[in-house]
Amino acid sequence: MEYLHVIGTFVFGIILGYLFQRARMCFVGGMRDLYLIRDTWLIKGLFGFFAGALIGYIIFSATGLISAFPWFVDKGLAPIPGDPLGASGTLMGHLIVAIVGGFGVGFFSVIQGGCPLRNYVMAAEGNKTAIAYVFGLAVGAVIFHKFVAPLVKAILI
Amino acid sequence: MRISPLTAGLIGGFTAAMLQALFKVFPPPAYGICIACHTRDLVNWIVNHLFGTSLGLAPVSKVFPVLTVVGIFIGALIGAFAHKEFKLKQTHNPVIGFILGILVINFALLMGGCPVRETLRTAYGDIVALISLIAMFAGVVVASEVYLKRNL
Repeated sequence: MEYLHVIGTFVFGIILGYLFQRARMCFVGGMRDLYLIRDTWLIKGLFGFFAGALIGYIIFSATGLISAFPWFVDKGLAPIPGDPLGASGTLMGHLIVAIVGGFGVGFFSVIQGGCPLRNYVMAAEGNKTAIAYVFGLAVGAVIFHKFVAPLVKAILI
Repeated sequence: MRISPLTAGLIGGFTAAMLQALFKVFPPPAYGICIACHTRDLVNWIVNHLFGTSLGLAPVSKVFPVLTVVGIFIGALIGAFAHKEFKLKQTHNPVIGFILGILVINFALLMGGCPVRETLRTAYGDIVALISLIAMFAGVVVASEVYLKRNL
């Protein structure tokens, strides 16, 4: 039972990977199409994801499997999960990393041609640029935790 | 058969909530699907085990990492092969793709998740995640203006 999270993420990852490949799902691409050509076909994926997650959270918190919307009820300011910065974050620190991080992801994802999810799917479709991008993600994760996170922490806290 | 992004999003969002509720993909909360964080967990877990380092990863992945990204890759591979859409090609220089990958994951981990997880966090009631989504839209607008319109 300890490995439920591994089984769940792997099996449902395969199902979702298939679905996302068929739908050409892209979060950043949806925003780009909305702005550039006023097309709402892709951005519906983002709103669908939001609605699906909301329905799921309402159902599962009604059945008592998860505590109902802790971020909404308690403080709205839980530490950024799984992130070394979150441990002693302030509201200002959270806002700065949210705005800087969000802007950077939006900017560079448009240049790459899609969000990280879309690039995983494109890598599976045989796109060499996306395969290189996925390797960049792997290298970047180590760089972030080795160099960037301590630096940002030193600046913000 | 073509699946609309709306359908895929609805199923994906519900699955993300279900993974947290039934398959215990927490802590942290709202962690059901995240491309950047789960890549980080997988890579850092492997690096930690190979070289004895202690790079940061989410508590849920301490013993064994979550495998969402592996699953999504295999699922997309099945979808591409099943519908004869697998083709070796290249959109732009892979070296630039590699550098963009490093940049994107650094900004993503800075805000605590990729676009997918920011949406999930927003659904879970995190206002800061909503602000990061708005900032992301601003980044998309600026990049569209300074980059896409010049290269169309």
